[in-house]
Amino acid sequence: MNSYYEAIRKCIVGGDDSTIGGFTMNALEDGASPANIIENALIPGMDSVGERFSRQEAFLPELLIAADAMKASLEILRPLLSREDSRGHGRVVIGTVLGDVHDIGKNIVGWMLEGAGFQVLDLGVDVPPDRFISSIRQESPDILALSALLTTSAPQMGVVIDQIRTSGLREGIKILVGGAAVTSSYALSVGADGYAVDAVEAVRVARSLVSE
Amino acid sequence: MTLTSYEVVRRAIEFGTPDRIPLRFAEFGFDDTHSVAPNQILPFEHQDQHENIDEWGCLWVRSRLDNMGQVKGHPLAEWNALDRYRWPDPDNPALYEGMDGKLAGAENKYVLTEVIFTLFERLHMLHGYLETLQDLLLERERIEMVTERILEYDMRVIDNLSHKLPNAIHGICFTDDWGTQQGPMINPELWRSFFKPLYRRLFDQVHGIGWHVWLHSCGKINALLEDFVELGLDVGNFEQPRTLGIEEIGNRFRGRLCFAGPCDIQQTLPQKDEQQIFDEAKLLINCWGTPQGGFIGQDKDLEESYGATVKKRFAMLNAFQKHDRWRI
Repeated sequence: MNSYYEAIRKCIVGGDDSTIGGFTMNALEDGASPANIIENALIPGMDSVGERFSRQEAFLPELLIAADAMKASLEILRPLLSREDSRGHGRVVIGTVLGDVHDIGKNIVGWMLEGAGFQVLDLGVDVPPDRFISSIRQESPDILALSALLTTSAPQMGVVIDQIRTSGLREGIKILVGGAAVTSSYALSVGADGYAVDAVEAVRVARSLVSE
Repeated sequence: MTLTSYEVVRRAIEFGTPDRIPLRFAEFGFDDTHSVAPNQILPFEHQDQHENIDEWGCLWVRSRLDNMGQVKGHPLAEWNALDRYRWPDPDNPALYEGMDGKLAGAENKYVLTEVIFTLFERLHMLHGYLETLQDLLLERERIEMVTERILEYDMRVIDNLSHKLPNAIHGICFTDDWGTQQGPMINPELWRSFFKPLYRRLFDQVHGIGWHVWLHSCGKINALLEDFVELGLDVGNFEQPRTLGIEEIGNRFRGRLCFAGPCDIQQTLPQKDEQQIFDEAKLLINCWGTPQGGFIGQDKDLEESYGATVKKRFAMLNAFQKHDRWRI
């Protein structure tokens, strides 16, 4: 085990984005591969913060500074990943549905998924269904993650899923939904594969979806 | 003798045994309160507006759907903008123009004013929500400086209101959403060290004038509620009672805090039928109200924004009236 992994993990847990870059470079120079650094340092570090968040021992500020530290390390590692490794634990396309411009929760989910080793492609907000469809065709993601804050925009999730089905793309993709307007029963009703109440749970659900 | 609307509300808040549950359903003609707000620039002034800049320089954006939108342009997104930022003027006459006229119709009613986006909300609207959460840990001094300026502004506005409308106002409503679906947005200990002293100053000023303090806060703020009660919060406006836990909150705070709110706006009003709305209204009254007061039935307008209907809001009003066990 590379001796710098623990230092990188500590940077993430402590939200230290200023020294994590140095430790990341040290690990690479020591012979660790980018994928191994992600697997053995970044992911465990983010998981640790995620577990504390689930126990209400850490809160959004701690989660965010950990994500910032993680991103600082990923910035160094991402260009060095092989094409195969860049997909990580899975590729996720994420976006807020049509009619909704809220993005805070979606952004946090995206960062947490990156910290968990997923490759995340963020389509932004107010995303029309056909843009989700074309993204699926172009990027072949493992997971499509849909976010909605407004009760009035949540039905767009069903529209997107229906269009994915009629486009013949449903079999190859898992669909994860979330947002203040969404519940687990709503997720079931629109035909999603998974639902997450927060960003930490989104990681857990995403992992189980790709392992199915 | 029938109590005036003012007396009904006052007694509900102060547990002085009103003769019925007060109501705030203005659009249906049942409102024991009268609002006189300063002329703060609202996120959107009319339905066709999708972008707007408020008096703090925050850019509001929303989609085609009618909703409150989100601040997308933050004047203090970068700390180097602080030196050249023009703070809004709490003495700006435009804020108070026409306030006397707003009292028309207030006779015998409980008069409520407001300073919306009070502390934390204004802070993250200025600096950015995610940036503010991080900088509470990383840039504490700068965050303290900005929050102090916001508090000074609020307190000056309150002072001005009390002088411009002497003896006319009975309460003030603040808004600061503090909860996610599962808990407070920040560590309660951090909240107590940073924000609680600020709220204390604000609440003490309001009580010193003789007004009640109302607070609107969304999300699961259970971990902060005891602190708010300790600070002297008089009325809590919580619109997601199912997220808080109706029975839990009732067990802890019934008889100690007055609640003013609707049935749950995330689950009940958008998704349930009229019978279920009736049932929840009854549960709220039973769990949160007492024979001495402590509950105010309050509407939630802009039903399209949260997926309800006018019919369901009316059903909620009927339910609050029907289940008023203490109506004399």
